Amino acid sequence: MSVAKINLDELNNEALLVEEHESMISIYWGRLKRHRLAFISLIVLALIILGVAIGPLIMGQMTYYNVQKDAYVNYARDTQDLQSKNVSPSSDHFLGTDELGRDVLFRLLIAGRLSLTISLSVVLIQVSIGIFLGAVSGFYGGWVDSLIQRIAEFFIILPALPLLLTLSSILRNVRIPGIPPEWSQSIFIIVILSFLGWPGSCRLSRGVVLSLRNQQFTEAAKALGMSDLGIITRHMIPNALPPIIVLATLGLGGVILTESALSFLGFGINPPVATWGNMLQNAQTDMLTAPWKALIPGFFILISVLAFNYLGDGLRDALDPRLKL
Amino acid sequence: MINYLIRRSLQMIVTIIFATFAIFVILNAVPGGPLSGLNQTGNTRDRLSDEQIARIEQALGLNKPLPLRYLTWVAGEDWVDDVAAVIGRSEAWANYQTPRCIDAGRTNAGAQTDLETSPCGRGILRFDFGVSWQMARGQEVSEVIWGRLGNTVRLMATVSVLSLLIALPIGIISAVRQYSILDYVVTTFGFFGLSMPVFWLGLILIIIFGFQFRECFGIDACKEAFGSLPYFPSGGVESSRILPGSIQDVFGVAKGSSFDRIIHLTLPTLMLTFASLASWSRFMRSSMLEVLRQDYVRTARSKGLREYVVIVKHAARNALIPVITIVVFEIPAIFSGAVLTESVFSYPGIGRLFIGALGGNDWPIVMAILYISAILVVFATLVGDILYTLIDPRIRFD
Amino acid sequence: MSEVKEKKVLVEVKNLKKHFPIKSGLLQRTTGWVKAVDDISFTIYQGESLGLVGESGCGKTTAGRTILRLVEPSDGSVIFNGTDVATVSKQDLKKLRQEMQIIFQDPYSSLDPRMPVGESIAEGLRIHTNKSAEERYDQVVQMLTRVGMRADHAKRYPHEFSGGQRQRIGIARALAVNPKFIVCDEPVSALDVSIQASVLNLLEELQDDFGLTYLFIAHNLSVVEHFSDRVGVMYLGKMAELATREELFRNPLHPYTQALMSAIPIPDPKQRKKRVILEGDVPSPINPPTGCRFHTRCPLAYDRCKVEEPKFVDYGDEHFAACHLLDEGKPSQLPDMNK
Ligand SMILES: Nc1ncnc2c1ncn2[C@@H]1O[C@H](COP(=O)(O)OP(=O)(O)OP(=O)(O)O)[C@@H](O)[C@H]1O
Ligand code: SF4
Ligand SMILES: [Mg+2]
Repeated sequence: MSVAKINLDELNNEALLVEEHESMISIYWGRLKRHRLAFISLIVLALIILGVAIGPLIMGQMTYYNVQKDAYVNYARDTQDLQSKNVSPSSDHFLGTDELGRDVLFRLLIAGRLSLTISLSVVLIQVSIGIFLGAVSGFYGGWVDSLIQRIAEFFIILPALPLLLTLSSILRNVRIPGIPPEWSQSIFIIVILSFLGWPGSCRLSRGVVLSLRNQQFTEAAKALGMSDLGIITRHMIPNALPPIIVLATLGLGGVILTESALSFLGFGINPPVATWGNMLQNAQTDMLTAPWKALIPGFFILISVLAFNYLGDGLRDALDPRLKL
Repeated sequence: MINYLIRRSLQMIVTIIFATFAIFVILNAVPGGPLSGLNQTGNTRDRLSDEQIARIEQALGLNKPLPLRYLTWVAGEDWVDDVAAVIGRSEAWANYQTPRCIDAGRTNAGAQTDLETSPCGRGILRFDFGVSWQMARGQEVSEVIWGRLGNTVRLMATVSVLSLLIALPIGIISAVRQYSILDYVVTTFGFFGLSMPVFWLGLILIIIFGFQFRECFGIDACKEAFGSLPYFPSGGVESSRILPGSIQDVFGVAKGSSFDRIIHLTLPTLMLTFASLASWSRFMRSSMLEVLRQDYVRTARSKGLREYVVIVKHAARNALIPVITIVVFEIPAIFSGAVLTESVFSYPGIGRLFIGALGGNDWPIVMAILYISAILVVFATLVGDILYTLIDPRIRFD
Repeated sequence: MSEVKEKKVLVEVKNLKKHFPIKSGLLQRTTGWVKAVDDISFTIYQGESLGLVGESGCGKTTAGRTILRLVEPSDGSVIFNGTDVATVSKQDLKKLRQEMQIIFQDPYSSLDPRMPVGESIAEGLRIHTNKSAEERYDQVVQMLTRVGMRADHAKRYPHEFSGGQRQRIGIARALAVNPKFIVCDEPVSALDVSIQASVLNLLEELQDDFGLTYLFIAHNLSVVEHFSDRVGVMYLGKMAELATREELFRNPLHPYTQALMSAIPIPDPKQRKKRVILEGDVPSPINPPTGCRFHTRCPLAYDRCKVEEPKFVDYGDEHFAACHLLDEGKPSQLPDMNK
């Protein structure tokens, strides 16, 4: 049996799966584009983010006829018009007005800013805490690991919604001095949601670190004389990041849902500050006369959460290194 | 195995102790003290003056040292003077019980069997949660909760059973027919279920089946012909009077009858079921897919067994195992859903009681519900764990 | 097969032990020890291939990893070219790492899935040399072609290759730092039989070309029969027997070796062979049997075996074995169950 011949056979049969080599990023991108719903979601999210970012800026320059003031005024979050409460969509108010005559579209866009910002902050914080604790837990093992895991388990076991409600109800009347009350409310909500939400990413990153520690390629790096830090930065982090990105993307949707539920129940961000959740608060009383108030903010919640979920799903497939496409 | 059970139960007890501790600390961390909210409630009739609050504080023993308050909250105060006597600190501890308890001669003697009249707290471990401050001022919390429990249990039980009955077959079929149109619909539906704010779904249900049915969707022809479509009540547990044209009216259901209650339960159930249906059918689907890939299923097929037999006898049974345990883990999550559902539908259950108590700073009720739900969750986790280990031979008890 | 002419010792393993603690409970107290490698001694000569054989879980991989100090040894020493690997300082160990490399059993987890294989191969050069990116690339290409792959493979990711190709890449990675000694941990047991031969041939060629010394780990004797100059047999963390290949196959002294040998399939069905079936499973290394570790399964065991541990003794011409029967000069041949 000649060595050269076998090599050739093997190469010809099995190596030519991918003729053109592509960079990892372009592979990921290509796969994501092929996941149609994830790609659409990405576009939808980009539009929503663009809309809430610049929409209020543009609308803020535009004017409408305010019946109560009998004047043309700029669109604003809190400008009321008690003469035209709960009016249905019109050219002045594309999505109608609410029970105080405020423009629903403008509030919706401003609310989107807050809801998305809160969600992003919470996910960033809880994922950072989670990654850090999980990595420590998996890397050091021993009693550190036991302790962190018991704490995480405890947090997972806690009844989430009741506890969230309790915490935010306790902090409801507290203000951080020196900053606007609406900010301090948002900060509390962010803190509470991050505080209760880290165990998911902690467990994930611990699992990843543990499995990476047992992968032979980290041992190979050690055998080549690579330092612990080198192994962590060159091998562990690049491998741990993708599942965490997926988890974080799915988490973005989850936080939007939780925040909106809290605000809906009156224990999140309180009016006049607008979030998608608290815009639904008063919708209930006027459901018959002004159903758009209930339909529209909920629809935006649904669409953005759905987009985050589909995007996460698509990323899960796209970032899988073992997947041949 | 026995060892494992004992260890898990011990862990469970420790968890519950930690949970009580956390609950206590959280609620006493309220800036300005737990009573601070009572003079700020929106409703002026319910608002208390600072003096009243100080009196309540004294009466409830809120001026006692925190550790002792925690102990008495957990374990009751009927033992305090006995212990003080034993360790020779009767004098120092003389005022450690609440005035109510001291007035009664520091014991529950004679009232032992009757929770309502026992003046010395018996502690949450013995399911004495104290007295409501606000929602039902002066009433025993356990009584208030008991009065609402039935409604919530009915809702949660209906939802669980219904979700299982629908989710399991759907999951199985969509796994067996992977990539079919049905599968596509089911997975899409699952994504919507996960992404939908449940309370919003509730609002939409009310808009459609409550208001729009009543208004015939604003279609004149419909109005002329029927007046209104048989519409659903938008909230509550039963009707105080039967509205003309409502579903009860059309079907001749008497107010307060069990049919009336079922009709009231319909929309809340729909809303909650939708939420759990989505995730449970996903579990079932992926579990089933997993099993269908296994060798023994292929073997069964290659032996020429009929497809139906393979799927039902071999695959579905095995696929059910992990799903059931997950469902057990998930049951407490329905309670979270109940909080939202009950708020949307003004349904007087535990969830709405909880929201009301939070809004009114009625901390004894809040603490009681948190404690009970913590026990429920821990218990469900334990049962789920045990089921899982019992069923899955790969897990060893060490 | 390379002929061993002058015998220069490259690696000397002395009383090497590796015990893994078993921890449990919240406080993570050590409640026991896995005696994965328990006092083994042997030498590896320059340029030879020493086979290490034993059933799954007997501590072969752990022995290899401990020799390379990928895990800290619990006790004993490993003298490599005059330096004790077990106690050498961190800086010196890093330098030593160029000289000793390892090839792994599982070609799927031995390459970082998110790194182009060229980068993986260049990793050692990055650590140990100041070569520029181009120089490294040149050497990567050189290594790749040497193991029978193409230059353009360097930019691809592991998932684009078959198991055999990944194993070649793993070999290239080890070879890139120009080592003297390579631990081959079952390099072919995860591969299809058709590919096994080509990888083994490659390893053999490389040994001749680069003057490599191998510790070649395998879980059955049939692979080492064609590959090793000398063969060591391990059982439950201990060395049972060690001899040159010819000697071991001609005259296996230890009952365990004989049992292993009877398990090798013979290509020629007409040729009859002694059949020995071992009863029971390998005991756990957590509480290994007292005395001779093999006594729970050894058909020849007698009372002394249960209490006293046999010594690993040279019975002439560097044929080492650990069995009381040999010590007492009694015959240690197992009966043939065919009869
Ligand atoms: N890091 C570790 N911690 C605890 N125990 C370990 C560790 N690594 C190995 N062991 C144990 O040491 C024993 C020997 O394992 P080892 O991997 O060396 O066996 P092996 O002979 O290479 O087996 P195989 O043929 O399956 O590769 C096993 O019982 C294993 O469970
Ligand atoms: S020492 Fe005893 S038990 Fe061990 S191999 Fe020899 S005869 Fe068998
Ligand atoms: Mg091994």
